[in-house]
Amino acid sequence: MSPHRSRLGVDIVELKKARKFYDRHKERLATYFSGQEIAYVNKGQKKYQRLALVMAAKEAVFKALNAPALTPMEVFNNIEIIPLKNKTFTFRLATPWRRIIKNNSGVKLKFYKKKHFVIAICYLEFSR
Amino acid sequence: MSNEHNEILKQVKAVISQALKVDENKIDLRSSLIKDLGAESIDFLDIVFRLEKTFKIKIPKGELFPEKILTDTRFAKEGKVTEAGIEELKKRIPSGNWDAFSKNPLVANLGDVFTVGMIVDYLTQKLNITITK
Repeated sequence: MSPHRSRLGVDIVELKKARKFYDRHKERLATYFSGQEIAYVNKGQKKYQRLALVMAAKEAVFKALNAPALTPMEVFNNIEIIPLKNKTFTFRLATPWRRIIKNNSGVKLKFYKKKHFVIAICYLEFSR
Repeated sequence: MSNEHNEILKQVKAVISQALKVDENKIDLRSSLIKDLGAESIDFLDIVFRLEKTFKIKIPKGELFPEKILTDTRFAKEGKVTEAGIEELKKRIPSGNWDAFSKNPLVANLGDVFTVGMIVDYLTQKLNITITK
């Protein structure tokens, strides 16, 4: 029987920083974000807020996974945040990170939007 | 240091100062992006994009900041970088302080390796600048 585990990852992104980043680099997002993520970011009015959300989500998932990454670029490359219906989210891992979890049986990604920052919390139940 | 190398350092310091909102006088070749200058994930991306604009180059994924090392079990195991991993990192980041890192080769300590000097060395090579000492 595979061991069953749960993990938590949390990240926070400052909205002022995300806004400046979006305004300056919005044409370059495709380098580190998927088409689906970019479509999600560009759908809303406050695009920078959605970008902050996606960034915080990637980091929160990374921390929950306790995955090996040398730099944040690997985190952005290897985790794709997927918006689902009903304003819920899940994620997809690129190989070779897929071997970290065989089956993410339970994923909860929650977000808290405050005036100056967004917080992402990832609760993960998985078996190895 | 050659004039060209100095000029690269000057421009890199300006980029990092603007990206991280840090006084340029507090930035030198040995400054670690994370430990000394407080860079976060978004800052790494910001710095890469700013460098591309400043130097009019493209920085492919994995070229400035190496990737796919820690996922290779030859190079990292159970939170530690192996000897083979250190050798691989030396090839990818020649300017890193690997002697110091080797004494306690924890994956958690790798963030200290990303310094301003590493960026300057990368750009010097990328721009094919010859350093006359």
